[in-house]
Amino acid sequence: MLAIIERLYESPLATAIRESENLFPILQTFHILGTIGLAGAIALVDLRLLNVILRREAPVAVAHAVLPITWVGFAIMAVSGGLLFAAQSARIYGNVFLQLKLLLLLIALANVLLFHATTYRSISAWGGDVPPPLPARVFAALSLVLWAGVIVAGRFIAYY
Amino acid sequence: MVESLFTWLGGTAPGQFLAGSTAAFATTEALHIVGLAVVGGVILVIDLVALGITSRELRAGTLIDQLSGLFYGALALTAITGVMLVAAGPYKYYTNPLFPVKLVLLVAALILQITFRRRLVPLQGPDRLSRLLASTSLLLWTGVVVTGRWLGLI
Amino acid sequence: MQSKLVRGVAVATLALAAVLPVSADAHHSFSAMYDARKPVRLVGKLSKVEWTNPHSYFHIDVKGPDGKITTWACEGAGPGALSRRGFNKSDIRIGDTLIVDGYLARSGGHIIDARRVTLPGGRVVSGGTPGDGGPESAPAPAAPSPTAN
Repeated sequence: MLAIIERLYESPLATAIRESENLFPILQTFHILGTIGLAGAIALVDLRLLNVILRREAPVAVAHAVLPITWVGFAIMAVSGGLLFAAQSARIYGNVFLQLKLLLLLIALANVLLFHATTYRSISAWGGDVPPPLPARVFAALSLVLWAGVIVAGRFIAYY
Repeated sequence: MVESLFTWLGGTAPGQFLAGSTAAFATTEALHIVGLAVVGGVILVIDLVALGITSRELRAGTLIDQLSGLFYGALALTAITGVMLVAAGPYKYYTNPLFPVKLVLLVAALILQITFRRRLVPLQGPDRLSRLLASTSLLLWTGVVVTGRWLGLI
Repeated sequence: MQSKLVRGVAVATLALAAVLPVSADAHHSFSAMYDARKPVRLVGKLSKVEWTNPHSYFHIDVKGPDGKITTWACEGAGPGALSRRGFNKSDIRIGDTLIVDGYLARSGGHIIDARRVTLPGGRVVSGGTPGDGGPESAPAPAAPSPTAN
């Protein structure tokens, strides 16, 4: 594992980013904007599924409006996050909060995929005064906790 | 007068506590990000719908109404944690040239949100007014987030 | 451009230092990771430089009163912030004697945050992000303090 990390860290691209004056800060900027597009937008869908907000709108309408935003957010996060990680990899791969963040991220993504492969398929049938089915609400609650966890763990990396 | 406000903030119990505790500071900062992510998510969805970029089924006007509770709740979290972060190290913010820029953009964005966005409510779909308001909103809020990020980078 | 910012910060620092009560309690640590009550001045030879984001690191070998050499890490801002303050990678070379003023890390290791760096030749540059009324505005600590408490 360490050898791959070293190779990544020493690569010309990672080194250039790490020693840059503005490129690294710009990636950090996209990383916070991407957080809004991914986690902020996902939170709205999750809260609708939990019947907390937007109860006048059908869940499927909310999903259709918001999920495309989260895909763009995800793309921004994948690129900015990947590059930021590469630039710091040898320094931070042993950081417990970085490891926790990546673990939570994996689980959050698995949660999304599992939800879309199963319960989500019947989303068009939900709405009106009936709250979405229990599995959907469980996925949504997990999603909120997991993405919040990714954010918190991510912030702690710098401090420990 | 402004500097004494900053000094006072620094002397408060929360300010002193956060200044002395890495865990508390980091947690506060993390909650600030969670809050701004939700505020940003609400703004992003409303503005993109108002611009006609996403969804033909939803209307920006009704979204503003329905999301206002979440918006102000998340905004309160972000604002309170923000003040606490300043209290933990007020001198740093007082001398940072970007800090007043962030605050001005925030005030402008809030004024836009509270006053002019009400005009969006009766509108049926994207039109010139809603597009103008939405674009301005996106620019202002993006400015708040970007200047906030760059406070620590300049 | 950079000197304007440095001058602006310096003026604001002095103005603030003139009116702020200079008590340890009024000061706050850089990102809550450094102890503002423990100012440190290090004098040593630069043995390693990491001119990197998100933070730069200057490793200096400090000779203690017993002749023993301790390597200290001084954490500074990233390259962009440093260059905006007139501090560039070319300003220092391995082997240079540097004076670094900063605060001791709470973690207890041989780490300080580099608030102020005196380069060979005497030029003083800012090494960190905008200060919080620390050694930049207060008089430099009286004696070198090469060992951690």
